[in-house]
Amino acid sequence: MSDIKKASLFDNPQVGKAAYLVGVRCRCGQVSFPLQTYGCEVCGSAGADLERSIMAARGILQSAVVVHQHADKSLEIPFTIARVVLDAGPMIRSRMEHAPEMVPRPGARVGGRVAMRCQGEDENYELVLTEINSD
Amino acid sequence: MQKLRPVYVIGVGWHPYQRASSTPYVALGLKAIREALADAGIAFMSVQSAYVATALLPMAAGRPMLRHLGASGLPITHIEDASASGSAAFRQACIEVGSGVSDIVLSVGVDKPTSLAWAIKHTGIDSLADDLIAPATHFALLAEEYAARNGASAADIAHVAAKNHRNGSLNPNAQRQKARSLEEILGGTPVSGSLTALQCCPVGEGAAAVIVASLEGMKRVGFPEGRAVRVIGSAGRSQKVYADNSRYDSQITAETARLAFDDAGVSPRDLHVVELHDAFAIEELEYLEAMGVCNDGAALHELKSGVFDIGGRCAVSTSGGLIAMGHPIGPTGLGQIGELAMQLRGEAGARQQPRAKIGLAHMVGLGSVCFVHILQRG
Repeated sequence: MSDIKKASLFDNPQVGKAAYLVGVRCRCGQVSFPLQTYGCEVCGSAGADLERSIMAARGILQSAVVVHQHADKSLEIPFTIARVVLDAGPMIRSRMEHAPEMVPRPGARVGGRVAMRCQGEDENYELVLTEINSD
Repeated sequence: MQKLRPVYVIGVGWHPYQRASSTPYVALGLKAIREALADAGIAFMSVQSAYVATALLPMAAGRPMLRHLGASGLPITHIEDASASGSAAFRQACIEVGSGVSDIVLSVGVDKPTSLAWAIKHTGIDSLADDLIAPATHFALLAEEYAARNGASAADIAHVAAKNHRNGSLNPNAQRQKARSLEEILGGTPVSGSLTALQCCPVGEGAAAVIVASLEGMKRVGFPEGRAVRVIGSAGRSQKVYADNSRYDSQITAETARLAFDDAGVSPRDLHVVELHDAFAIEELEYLEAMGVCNDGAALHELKSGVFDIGGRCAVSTSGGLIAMGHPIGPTGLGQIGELAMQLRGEAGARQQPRAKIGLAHMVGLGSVCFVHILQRG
């Protein structure tokens, strides 16, 4: 598991299963993603004032766009990137899967599963978002 | 600026923005500086301090360039604020003159597109997919959200690019000097979402220089006061955690602009000419609304009605903007000040906004950071 990159962003990642993300809750109330212990972006508290906060990768789609060009030529294009506000509060961006030519519209409910992405010699855990039809 | 003694722009100059070439950065910078010195009618020896804005050149770019104007021993300070480097350098030059430390200060931006390296990739904090998300994608997402929020079509946003390419075709210093039809723009290479290549700023190199002076400095060198353009407002901010955190680009712009308007004692509806950070077409609409130049959601309609054309109520991106003038990074913010100065002096030729008296320059930079300046004739 320590060889697979981005493992620390997920709580107990299992490929194909619903994703749970590892965020941080500060004593001041701010909830952010991902977990970091440098300090809270709102109040600057660090150390014991910050605690690990697990959040479901579920929320409301803000927008999704198909990427046609990328400087990294090893990436397979096109792919779709989505911006989602999680039910838990933080905003995340990750890859989205959808039927061809049917990019989900802003306002759609989305959920994410754990997937694996290979980049050169590296294996990465990946969050793949899809539109969900019922809660 | 209201706390400081009056500061004036007295000289502006450029090396044209262009595709990457074998021209050394020293040649780019010297052309812009000499043009600004000639514009001001002063010798380099009159300049008391220099701020050099560059985001991509390696360490210590200033002296190898400036020494060829005569090694006067002036203090040289390098400024980097990503895309806003030039704007930050201008602010520092204004503060140095306004505070009384110097009477005549040069700010020069120069850059060549070497490989881009962002410190935020080295914080030790990982991300889900940031390596997949280039700036064009970040703004393509915003374009979708703008279109959904305002019931517009994403294709409508391309009108910004049509205007800016038209303005650029009138600017001999612009990297892109070709007017483009909406069809050409929409039919071009798709980049991300609805953004096509001609709706995105090009990669390039160039230089821009601005000289600022106090009243005492102008008197000393015999600069005619009637040609001086006063810097009446200056503000800078960095990104905070906002209540609506998904639109931080607009939030930081709104906050910075508000401070600049308060400083200058003018309102957004008083502006006759605006240069802003239109690296991607959607940005022009977002920032005009955020700054209050028009109402929320109204930018697209006003754009199509000609309000932001040269000759309209408030001409936006008269230089061609980042989209057509270009965005070599270090020079960009300073080139905007230069354009405003020419407009407010009535020296902008084919790009002249009639009766231009008050202008605003806006840049954002990776961080995000934001700088807004307001200039006034006379």
